[in-house]
Amino acid sequence: MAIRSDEIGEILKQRIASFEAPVVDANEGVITSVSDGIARIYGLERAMAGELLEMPGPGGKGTVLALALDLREDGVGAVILGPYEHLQEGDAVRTTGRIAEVPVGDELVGRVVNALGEQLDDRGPIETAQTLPTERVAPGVIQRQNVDTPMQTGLKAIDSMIPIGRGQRELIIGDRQTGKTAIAIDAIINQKGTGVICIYVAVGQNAQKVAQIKATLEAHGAMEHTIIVAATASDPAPLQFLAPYAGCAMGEYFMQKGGHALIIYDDLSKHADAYRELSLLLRRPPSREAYPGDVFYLHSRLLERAARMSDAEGGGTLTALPIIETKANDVSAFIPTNVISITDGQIYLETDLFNAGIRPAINVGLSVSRVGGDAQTKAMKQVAGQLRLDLAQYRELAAFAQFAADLDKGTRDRLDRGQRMTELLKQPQYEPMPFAKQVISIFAGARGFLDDVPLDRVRDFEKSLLRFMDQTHPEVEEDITKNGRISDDMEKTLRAAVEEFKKTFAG
Amino acid sequence: MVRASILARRYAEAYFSLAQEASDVAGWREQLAAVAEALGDPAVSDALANPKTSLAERVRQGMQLLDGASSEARNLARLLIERRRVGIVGEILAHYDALTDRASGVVRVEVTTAVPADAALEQRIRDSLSRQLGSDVQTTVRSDPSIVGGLVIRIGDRVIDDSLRTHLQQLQAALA
Repeated sequence: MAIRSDEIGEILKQRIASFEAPVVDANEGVITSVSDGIARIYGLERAMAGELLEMPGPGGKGTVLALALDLREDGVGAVILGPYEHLQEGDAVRTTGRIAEVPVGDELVGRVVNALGEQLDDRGPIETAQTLPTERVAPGVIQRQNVDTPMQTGLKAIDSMIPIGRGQRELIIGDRQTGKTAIAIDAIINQKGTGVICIYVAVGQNAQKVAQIKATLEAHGAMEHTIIVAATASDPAPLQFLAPYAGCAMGEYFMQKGGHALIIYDDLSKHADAYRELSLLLRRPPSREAYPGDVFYLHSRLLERAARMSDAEGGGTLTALPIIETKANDVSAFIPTNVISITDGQIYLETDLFNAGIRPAINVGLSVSRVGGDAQTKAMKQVAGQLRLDLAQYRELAAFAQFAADLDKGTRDRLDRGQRMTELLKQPQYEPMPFAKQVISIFAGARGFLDDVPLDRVRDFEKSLLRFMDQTHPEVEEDITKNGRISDDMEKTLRAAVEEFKKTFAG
Repeated sequence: MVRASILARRYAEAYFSLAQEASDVAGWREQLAAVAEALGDPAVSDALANPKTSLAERVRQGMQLLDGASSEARNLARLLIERRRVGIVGEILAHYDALTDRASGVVRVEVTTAVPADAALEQRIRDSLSRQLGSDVQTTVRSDPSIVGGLVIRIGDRVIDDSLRTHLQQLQAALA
């Protein structure tokens, strides 16, 4: 589209005419030292904790913001939220009167921003009507409501046995390359059409990975309901420290309006590392593993802000899926144990399972959702109750299966069932399944229809069954979706349909 | 140095409260200024902190330089020599002055204009500030062409910036 030169002139005229030049009334101090992204400032007696400070920008143009984190008798220690190599001793620093805040609003949906809410994509500047502080006291007990509405991830293994509710915090924990981000992305894709706004906060990731995630979400039509907040590995530690809180503020905007949001922190291990770097540079005393003494509080105050508000407060929800990376499956390390004790359950991913082809590589035995059945539809409860039991028994016996040549029929049956259910729970990436389809699929397995299907044909069976149901009995899925449960009539119809399908399935 | 500043303030507070008790803030200030004059030179303060020289010898050298000073000023100097803190004596004086101002309710204001203000303008500025801030306002007016136009008023930590340079920067940011 050609840009007309008079249009530009007109815009400039308007901007200049409506330009307000407020008189600046601030406190001013001087930098006494700058190193490693930390500035020590003399003066600024009235600086507030967490206040944004303005420093001269590179080349004398513009400003660089800093965050006043250390307030002392003789000055202020500030972390610089941007380039700092140009700053010198004697440079003037001014307060802004604003405690760290980010722009929030519907205008951010579909955009990629940094930890300060500034645009990183090329779709023009972001103008929001509102800002919210990044640090905020979490809602109190009275303002909350019990979590009892499902947040469907679209992954069978999760929605059946580790169900997540709206307003819950569920940790995704595992070694590197076990599919943690994949679960988060599938959950985002599955929120399409539900009215849930998703926020993906990338902390310390490669920029390439974030670009790939954006492309994937766009390809699946999921960017329309997603905000990406990126503080990648090359961003200074203060921005990586701030990013999760910024994302949380953006999510709280929707929660306060009575809406629903899902926020993913990928990952909090790198967040803790960035905070450790800041604290050590600010000369705060190191404690275990060199993390500062308040690293627990770092995460607890972040995760407590995910909640389900009471109806009096609007009934909005913010669901959090923090991600933690373990080293050598050690869930008893410092940061993992911290976050496990904060969240309402964890999804535990294992490299061994991943390598054995079980993807999502969820260890069902160690994973738990403390909200549990409250966040499941009745339909899912009807079919999934047996599932956990089957898999638990299978796990007990799986060790024997390798040794015993001669097994009694009961044992063999349980092994067969367990193997088939495990096979059923495997799911390809980027194919989240609506809960009604999950119910049908697990119904077929739980009621024994798969027991005589060869193991390597189970996935095909499932795919073909679902297609068959779509074509010949769409009312089953519709009914389950509408009512959230399988009525006795529907159960009969479903049974008959599966049997009918089985006859046609070349096993 | 940041740490020195806390120390200087503490010494100044101690000396100042004694001066207040003696009801001779101005006189004690003169004595302190004399000490700063005599011992403030870096070469002198280094010599008085020399680890190879004994304490007694250093004190003797210091007292030699302070011939004629009041006994309290000499005591302060001796304390500083003992603690090897003679280098901060200039800052102690500065803090002492700040404490004096605060105690007597004097507010020091620095006004910067782009071009030197004529006498009439200066008087208007002084009167306006006195009205705004109270009776005891000590105004210093200086000029600095780099602010291009307008005024910058500095009261302690607080800056009121109505300079053309800042407005132009704001305009640049708005149009960016």
